[in-house]
Amino acid sequence: MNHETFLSDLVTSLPEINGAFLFSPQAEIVASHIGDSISDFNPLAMGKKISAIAEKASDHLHDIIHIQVTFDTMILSGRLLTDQNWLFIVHAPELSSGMIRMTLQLALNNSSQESDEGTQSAPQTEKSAAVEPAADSQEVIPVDIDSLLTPGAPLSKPLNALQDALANCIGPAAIPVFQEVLTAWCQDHTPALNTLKHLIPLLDKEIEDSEDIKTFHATIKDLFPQE
Amino acid sequence: MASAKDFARLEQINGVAHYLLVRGDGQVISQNREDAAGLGPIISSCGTQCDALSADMGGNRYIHTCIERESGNDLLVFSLGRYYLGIVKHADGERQEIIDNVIYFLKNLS
Repeated sequence: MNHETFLSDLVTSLPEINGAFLFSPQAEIVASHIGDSISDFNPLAMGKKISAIAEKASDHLHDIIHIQVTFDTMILSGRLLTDQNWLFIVHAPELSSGMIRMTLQLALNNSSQESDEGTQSAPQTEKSAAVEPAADSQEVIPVDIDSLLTPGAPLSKPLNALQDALANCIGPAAIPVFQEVLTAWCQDHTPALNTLKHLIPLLDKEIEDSEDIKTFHATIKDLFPQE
Repeated sequence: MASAKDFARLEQINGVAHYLLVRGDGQVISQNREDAAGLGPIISSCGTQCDALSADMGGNRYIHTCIERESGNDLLVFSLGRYYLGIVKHADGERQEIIDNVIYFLKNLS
């Protein structure tokens, strides 16, 4: 996945995202995808200012991972990648910071997986490197469980379908049980489409009855067309 | 502008570990922890850079910044005209709740 495609996918993933760009202190603007809704927008100046803030702050704060600047009608969110490179998105204030962090993480995870499959280089981050399948037991970013299930979130459709399927098997207790299992899954795996399969055995344990487990699997089989 | 003493009430906001009221030139006007004074230049630099970002953001008015840290002790910087308010949050503090409470506090300053 090249940078332009990565940014385009990121911007179109949520309607509240108006634009995204990659900034490098050396190459400056590496790539950008700015929506028509933004005018008088200067990504280069933004990148320089945010990286200057981070550089100054790093005198005392050695573990900066993200900078978010809130304006009256817009928010600029910058995620620090490797080698002082930054991934920025400009989005509407309606999008919660939890949702933004998760969207960025998912986009980086997906691009990292695709670049592993032999395509062009995509934005690399120490964080995304740490959540490769072999190391996905390392949770990097605290995940807001409610955000995962919020309509429009990248995983909301399969997760809500799984919750519904669980409710068919164990009844109304499925809601608190699903939240608990989801929390455990997020502790061990990065929430992403390719780690969803690790959620299933955890849900099986909660169903217990073997016939119900079969019913559960039959209900959810369409969620995993490749398996 | 309220007096510097009024800002001492920021300590009562749940999740606030430190606060610093800083002038645009970096001079600390009020704080609750002497050992946090090193953050003064960072807060003023962040505030002035973000104020300048308004022009790069189509004239949008700057409200606040969150410098998020792995430790959870995020630094929040609020714009107060010629001054900037820096808040260091407790690692387990709820960031949005703190932001909402600080904005409410600032709006109610006489």
